[in-house]
Amino acid sequence: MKSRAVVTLVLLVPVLLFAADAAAAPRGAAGEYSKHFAALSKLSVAVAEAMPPEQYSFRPHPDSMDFGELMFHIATTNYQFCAGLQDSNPPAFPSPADTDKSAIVRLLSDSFEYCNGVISGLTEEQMTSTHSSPDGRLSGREVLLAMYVHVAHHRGQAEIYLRDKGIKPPSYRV
Amino acid sequence: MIRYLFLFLAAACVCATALRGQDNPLSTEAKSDYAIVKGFVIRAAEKVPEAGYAFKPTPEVRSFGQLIGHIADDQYRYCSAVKGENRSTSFEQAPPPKAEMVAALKSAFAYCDSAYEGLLDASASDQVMFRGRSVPKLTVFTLHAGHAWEHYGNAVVYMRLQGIVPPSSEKAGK
Repeated sequence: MKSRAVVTLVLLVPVLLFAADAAAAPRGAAGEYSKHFAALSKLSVAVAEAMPPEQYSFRPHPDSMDFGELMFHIATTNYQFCAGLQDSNPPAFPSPADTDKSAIVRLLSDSFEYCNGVISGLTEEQMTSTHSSPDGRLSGREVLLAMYVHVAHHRGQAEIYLRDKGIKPPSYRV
Repeated sequence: MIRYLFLFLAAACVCATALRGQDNPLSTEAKSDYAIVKGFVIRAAEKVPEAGYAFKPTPEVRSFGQLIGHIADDQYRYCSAVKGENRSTSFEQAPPPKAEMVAALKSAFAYCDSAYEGLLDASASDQVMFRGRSVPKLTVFTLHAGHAWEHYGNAVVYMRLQGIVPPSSEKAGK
């Protein structure tokens, strides 16, 4: 009898430990993230729209991306992160050399729209499993953080490009 | 028999606890990303010479010293919310000379270090007050990371405009 009780305990304790963790795990993380990602999207597209077409080739230094390349880079990387979340391939991108401002703004806007669709439909399984991403193999949750900071980092550069051209960037929003 | 079962029980508990330690992907990623951007910002602050602290791309924007001051101030703004404290600084308004500013920046990050150290996935969804509303802790950390990366992005262009290679491009050699 005592042995059976101990065996039961042996089997039960690890299960309870994991169950306690599962109960404490954050819920709806993508839901909260979606709100801030939407704000990130709007501001990024507004930054792209604020630069005049003739300044899309402006770069502050020969080793820097020009403004159009910067926006193009954000857009294509968004697609790569979000296609990766679905374990699919991103769409074929136009060559940066063949794109003008309107094409780049559309590409950027479409990339955020694509990502918003992916993020809103993410399952818990997709959030926890690992996916290919521009930063290597990451869990779905890690991809979301990596994408968020990637956009913020390059938009931070773009804002100073705008300032350098005497343009006040759109107001910050979170 | 019972002695062996107790040994097995102890081993099972140890294993379960060890696995729980690995089961913090959210907080581990947040900490990892924070460490990267913290390193870049501190190295940028160290790399720009004293004279470069007064540099502004245009008259309307922060000087480099004010930008670093703003990043330092915001370490307290974001991390005090997570820690439930009331801490603020005003380095942006009156940035001290470079050596003092770099020291203050490191102290500000050290303040945030303790907030990140206390983060576990199990507590990531705990609600804290931030900007007048109740949000999950992890949201504050995500916004904190985005904010730091955005301003590091600003700093990258400030550095390029002064002919200085930003820390994040040092490996590329240009």
